[in-house]
Amino acid sequence: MKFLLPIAAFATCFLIAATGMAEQAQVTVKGMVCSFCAQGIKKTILRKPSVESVEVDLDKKVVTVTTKKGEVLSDEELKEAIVDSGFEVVRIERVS
Amino acid sequence: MPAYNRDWHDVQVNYSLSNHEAIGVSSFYRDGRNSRSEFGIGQYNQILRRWNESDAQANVNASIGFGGRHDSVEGDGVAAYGALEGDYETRRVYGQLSAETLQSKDSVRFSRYRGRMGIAPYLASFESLQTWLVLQVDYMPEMEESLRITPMGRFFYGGFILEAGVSLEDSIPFVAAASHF
Repeated sequence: MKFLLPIAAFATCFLIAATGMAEQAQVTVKGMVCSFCAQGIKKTILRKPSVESVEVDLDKKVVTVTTKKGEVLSDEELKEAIVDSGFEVVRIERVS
Repeated sequence: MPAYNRDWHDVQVNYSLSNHEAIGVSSFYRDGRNSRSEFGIGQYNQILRRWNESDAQANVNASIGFGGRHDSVEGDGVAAYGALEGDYETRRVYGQLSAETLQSKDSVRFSRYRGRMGIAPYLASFESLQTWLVLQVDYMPEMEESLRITPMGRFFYGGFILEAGVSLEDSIPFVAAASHF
């Protein structure tokens, strides 16, 4: 029984290290009303090597960006990508 | 973006330099009342102004270009192209006004004034097929005296747009397509 606690702690730390490094950012975008136009946002962000996936929700006007494990994409980089695609950023929320 | 109808078709390929600028090449073919003309144009396109709102977007775009033409009656010559376009779009409604002109010597010229209104009968998610029902009105003074009214479907799927319709009066088909590369 006394070995269970350290094993559980080790397993928890391992899981956090393995899965906890990927980060999501939810970007609310102004002007994103057209699926064809929003393809530009997805392509621009996906060009960044730190990005794992990009999801677009036209109803909520939100772009969800997931980075690769251990990679970081700053708010400035995200904002630049959205603006380069011709849209405006309302806010960026981080979801871990 | 290639577009086709019986007496006019064009193919335009553009490369975006930034979110406001693009360069491209265009080929226009016009089958007029008394002659046929082909134009090859290199062009510069710019978004003059874009308005991003929470539920809408509007743009004013301009294009200018130069190149050459071959006309079945007048022969070869230099040509110039200009266009001005404005659009407004929400997820439910779409409107567009445009004017474009091809000019060359010996009175070989072509102008087209176009208005469009469209509605989306349903709202599709980002990766699903979005359908628009669009009414297009063209006025092409060098080619016909009356307005050409074309109801059409406009389909967005991924990085592709397909537009297809038939004019009301003389059943002239219209097809256009565009793609992100």
